[in-house]
Amino acid sequence: MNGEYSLDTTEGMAASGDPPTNNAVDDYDAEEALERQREEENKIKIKLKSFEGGVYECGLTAAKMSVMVANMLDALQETDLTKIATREPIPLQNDAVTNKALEKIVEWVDHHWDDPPIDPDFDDEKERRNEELSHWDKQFIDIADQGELFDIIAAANFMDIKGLVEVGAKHICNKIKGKSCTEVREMLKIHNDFTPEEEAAIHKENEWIYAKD
Amino acid sequence: MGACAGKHQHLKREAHDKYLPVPIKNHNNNTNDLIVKFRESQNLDNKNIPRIYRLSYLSRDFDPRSFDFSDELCVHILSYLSLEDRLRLESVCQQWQRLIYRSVRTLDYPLPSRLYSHLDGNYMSDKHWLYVSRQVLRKCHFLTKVRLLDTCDTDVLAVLAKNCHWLESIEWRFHNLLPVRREVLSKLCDNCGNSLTCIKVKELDEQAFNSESGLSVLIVYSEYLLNIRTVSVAIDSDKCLKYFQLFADIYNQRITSLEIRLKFSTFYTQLEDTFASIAQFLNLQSLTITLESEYPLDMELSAGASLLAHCCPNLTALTLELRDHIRCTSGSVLESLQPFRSLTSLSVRIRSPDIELGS
Repeated sequence: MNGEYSLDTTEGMAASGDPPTNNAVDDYDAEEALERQREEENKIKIKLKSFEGGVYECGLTAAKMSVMVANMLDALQETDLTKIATREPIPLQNDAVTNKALEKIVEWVDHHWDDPPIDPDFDDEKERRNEELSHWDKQFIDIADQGELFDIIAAANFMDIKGLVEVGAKHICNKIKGKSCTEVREMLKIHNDFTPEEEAAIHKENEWIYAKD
Repeated sequence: MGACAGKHQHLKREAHDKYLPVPIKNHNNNTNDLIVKFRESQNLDNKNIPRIYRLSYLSRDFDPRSFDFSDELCVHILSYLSLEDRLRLESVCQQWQRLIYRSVRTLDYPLPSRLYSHLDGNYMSDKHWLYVSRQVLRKCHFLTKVRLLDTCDTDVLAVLAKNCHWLESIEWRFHNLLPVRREVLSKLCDNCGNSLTCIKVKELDEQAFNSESGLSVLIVYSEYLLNIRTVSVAIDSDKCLKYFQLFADIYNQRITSLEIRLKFSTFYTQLEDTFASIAQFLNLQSLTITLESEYPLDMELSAGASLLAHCCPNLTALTLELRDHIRCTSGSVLESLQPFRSLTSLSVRIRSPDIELGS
């Protein structure tokens, strides 16, 4: 963190070494250039093909939010990016990538393409975990058909779009917050695969939790 | 108890091979085979095989609207649950039971008392709450960071030593009167020695300095704790300086981040000795010192600072906190910090009524 000082006294500034000047400006320029490049690249449209055969168009930068698509594009070793646009659609070979799911995913990445990349090792990770979803994301993920919602999450996980998987996971966890086991089973249509004896054993072990059920 | 022993069987196996497929019971037979096969296919390292993320695609017996994710994705989704939800939802299904505690990475022991009200409106005695906390601790096998907020007894450490082999950070409080059994400690250090990078030894309360035993643990088990990078200790110099010198001798190559709390009540010379010990940490990058003393320390501080600046060329982050009783002028404090040329972050906090800030 060059150039940042946490100081309660002003005089300490002199003691803490000379503040960097040129580097910061260079960094800023480089950042802006990268930003412009990303913006330019997003104007190039590439095609993605769902498992069911539907083809959807999507900006290049946005599509690269999917680590899997980014890797596939890297593997092409295409230097002229405009040629990618005229290529055949990129096939996404997983059952989860249905037409509906891919349509929604493209909608999401097109809205989020200029998000800063997620760095799991970063210190703020824990804070991001607890952050509320944005209003747009909430509306986006509030899908009536649960099958479709789960397809989107599975497809996003397959395509390795961390941000979208997180949105889905938070949405599900928000829905089941404070619910009892029975309610959750009903809501998420989970089959209770415990034998009655097993369930009784767990209840006995965790008696203190289920006191209010 | 028989049922419980059987229930945790898979967790025991997991310690040896966490990728072992776990078949689901109770579905009709055809689907069961499919799922076992599915779980095996999920665990191949071959990246070319498209992975299947939902069981619905495998069999018509599954409702596409059901929550039927593969273990990997299920763990990720459940990782956004709060601890109180995890406690309650353990018995939703076998998959959840197996996975729900897997993403618990950090835990405070005993559990924060605000959980009381979420779980049970009734009053719970402290003893019962400790029991509950221990039950939860037993279930979390993938902890990387644990804070023991109370004096930890042998049982708790035994649980950690047995289950949690991925621990990276421990914060604990020692009480000299409650010795911990040696074999448990050595087992803990043995099992977690490779992953453990951070140990924080805190005092039981603000006034008490009981880290003799904390330092002695670090010293005795130094051959296990090879990857320790961050240490936090409190030193009441009257008692602990010798321990600290020994500690500095052993760990001087390993530690990059040191947090120390010092309290001096008798001799000035001890600050000098302490600084001399700190200066032994050649690779130190970040240092936090909290000082408490009833005597003026101007000279010692500046001498110590120049020694540190000379001996620890990598030091880039310094936090200095001077507590209540200390008497010295802020000008001289800042002056004493002059020798540090390569700092990128500096924070000075002075809590004392005698000092005028900004002079």
